[in-house]
Amino acid sequence: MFMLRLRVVLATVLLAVAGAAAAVPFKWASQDDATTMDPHAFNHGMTLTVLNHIYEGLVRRDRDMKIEPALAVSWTQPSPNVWRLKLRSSVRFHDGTPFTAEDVVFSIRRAMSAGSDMKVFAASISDVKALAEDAVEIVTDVPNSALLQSLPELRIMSKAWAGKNGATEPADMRQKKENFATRNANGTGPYRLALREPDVKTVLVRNEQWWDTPKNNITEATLVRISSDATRVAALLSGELDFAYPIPLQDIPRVIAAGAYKVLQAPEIRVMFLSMDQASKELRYSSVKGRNPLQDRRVRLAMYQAIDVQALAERVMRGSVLPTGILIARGVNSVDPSMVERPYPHDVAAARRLMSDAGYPKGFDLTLDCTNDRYVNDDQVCVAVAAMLARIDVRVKVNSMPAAQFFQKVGAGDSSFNFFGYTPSNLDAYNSMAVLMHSNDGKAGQWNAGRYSNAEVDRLIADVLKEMDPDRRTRLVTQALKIHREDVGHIPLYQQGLAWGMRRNVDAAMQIDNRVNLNFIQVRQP
Amino acid sequence: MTVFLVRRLLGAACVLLFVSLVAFCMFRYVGDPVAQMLGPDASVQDREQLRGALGLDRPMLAQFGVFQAQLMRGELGVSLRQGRPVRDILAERIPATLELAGVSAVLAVVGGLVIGVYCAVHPQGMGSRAMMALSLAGASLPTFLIGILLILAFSVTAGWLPSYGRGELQAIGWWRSGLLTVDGWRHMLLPALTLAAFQLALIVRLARAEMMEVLRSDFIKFARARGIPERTIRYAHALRNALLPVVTVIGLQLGSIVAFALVTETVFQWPGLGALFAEAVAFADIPVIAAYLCFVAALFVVINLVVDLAYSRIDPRLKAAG
Repeated sequence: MFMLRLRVVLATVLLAVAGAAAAVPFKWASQDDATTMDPHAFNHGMTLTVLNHIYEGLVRRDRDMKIEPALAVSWTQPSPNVWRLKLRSSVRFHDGTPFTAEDVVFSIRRAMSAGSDMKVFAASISDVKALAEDAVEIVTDVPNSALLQSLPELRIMSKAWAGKNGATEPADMRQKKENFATRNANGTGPYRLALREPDVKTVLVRNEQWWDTPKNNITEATLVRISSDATRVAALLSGELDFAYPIPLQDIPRVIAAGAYKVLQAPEIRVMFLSMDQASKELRYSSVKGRNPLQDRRVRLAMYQAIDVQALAERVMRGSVLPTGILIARGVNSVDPSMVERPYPHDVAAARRLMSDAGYPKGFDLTLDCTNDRYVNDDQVCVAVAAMLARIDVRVKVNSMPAAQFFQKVGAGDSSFNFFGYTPSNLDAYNSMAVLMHSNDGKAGQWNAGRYSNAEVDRLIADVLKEMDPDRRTRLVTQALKIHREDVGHIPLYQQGLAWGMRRNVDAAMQIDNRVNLNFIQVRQP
Repeated sequence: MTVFLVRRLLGAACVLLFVSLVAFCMFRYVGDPVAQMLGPDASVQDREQLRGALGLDRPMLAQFGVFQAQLMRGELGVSLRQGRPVRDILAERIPATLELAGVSAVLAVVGGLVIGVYCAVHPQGMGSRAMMALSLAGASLPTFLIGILLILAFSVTAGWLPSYGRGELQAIGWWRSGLLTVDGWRHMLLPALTLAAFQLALIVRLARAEMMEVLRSDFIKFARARGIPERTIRYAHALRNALLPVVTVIGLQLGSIVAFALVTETVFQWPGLGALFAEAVAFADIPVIAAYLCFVAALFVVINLVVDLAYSRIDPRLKAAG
């Protein structure tokens, strides 16, 4: 009797142990799908999310987005422009070929080539060469303090595999031909690509030969694309999925109320803001003729103070966002967290006084360009901003349009006032500053949609790139942000919120760049 | 007959040319694919270079000429989003849409005729009244709402049927079919019902009205007077005469089942042409949009041609006149 009971207990324990270690298939759904499997063809969030599991860079990001060694084990910087990296030995690609310095040189050159969409991450690299079987040297044209931040985005593929399959150039959409690497993959990462049906499903299977020890228990993951919000939520609630994202704001309470699911929420690194045209002599879309009221700091400040960001956050965005006073999110490299406080309080009376001082006691008309399919509740935010600005008699006409049209219009400078968001893809402050705050001179300031320009800020941004010392670098960033804040160069609003839905037995570490990483997801026995 | 055929074919060519012009005009108004293709931190030079490489900086007429020439050769271009030939993508997506449309059409035609005739024969029955009320709902509720309600009822609440996708597929050559597996059929039911709902309601109401009309006509009264059994009167005499206008409408509706699969496919994440088109619009993936428009136009032209040709065969009176 006793033996029998013992056996039952033992069997139960064994089962439990086996269960914890057993193969756990995992099904996750997203709004979008990866568009290609080529690691250098398309700088696109969902594409890179999937590729991160198959391909690796020389360094990678840990759970808290800090840089840690990956295919490189260590690095030194003999001079400001030169980086020497020691490579990990006995790493193999999924097809069995050993990983060597030649693959690094090949892959980084591939990422730098004309057809690559990842060349922005290699912009400062002038040369890369193999020093030995397990060592490479990267030379930059200017000292680049953000190089390590960009290296995770330069994914390493096998030179031999690419050569054999005619994929030595990135699968460039301009060449109008499909490349073998578009639908096949061969990396060193923790998962192998087992099946790829574009826009339907992508199956990843654990790479048993991975050089690192996996900390999660997902052995097979199937990504399905469900673009309709309602259907994605329904599929999660009907038990067909383990994980789904994003969960629309209005459905979060419903998913939680269903009982078997939870929703993780966190502020994303995407910052949403308003840009005001400060370059035109006369605004294109305004009732004021012969001059540009937005060139007057008092008017910009009045608009800043007239907008009640707290109300936007609580009502329009249902408490899912974090108001901010700068264009760069918390957690981004070299950002002093105290800078995110909003410097100018919401104060309609003060705003009205500023408008009178500036000579616009009766206000003016202005058109706000806005997307209606790109960001969470984007057109509703614009309508709310218009209502708030009406209180200081700035009569805003909201002009909302699909993102494809919006970015064409705004990119061409054909906008007086607009609303969009930006994510620095390498999680570094320099990226946001160069793209959003630097004078739009053809090389930088690509999305400085208000054509804000301050020579001092431009100089500081150039210094930030060169500064290697982390503390001094943060101080330079802070200095530039303070000048920009004093100028009211933009009206920063909030960091958009992320919402990931999952079964209760799934434990996930949320990534602030909204890139799901299966390595940080654990499935418990329900 | 030959003159008729040639005239119809010429007309079809004109329609296709016009549609390709509309498709081409989308290049101008749908938005800028360059902004979508390059990441937000790409430089202005990169943008201009890509614009040049894609031929977007050339005069409109030259672009249209290139577009037409390619279309004639069956080259539909390369998807800006997936970086793969549009032809391959269409070939991948067509089975999903045709299977869904086929099942929906059968559901709508068979279901519609059976229910319609039943309602005509028993106009006062409880079942008929319920069916008529339901058909009113089917004809007036928007498709996406029907889809979402079905998902809510059968997937989320009851948990019987899956809410998205095609499920397990079986390949027959390049055609990947969901009709050969149980899982495929489970995935098929809700989208097919959603897509069929409007046509089903339409056919029910049409078949009922036609049937009642015929049942009131003189020859039926004479048939009854001659003592022919009621069954024979209903299903041999009345039904055949009621079918004619119904068949015409069914023919015309077949094309729209394929064309309007868009909403159903988006709701159920059904990987067919409609969903492909919806994605392409959001991304300004113009080669795909243009190819889809041309495909649907060609489909309508072919269906109308077939309906025209079939007409004279179905209706002996037309044959006599022709």
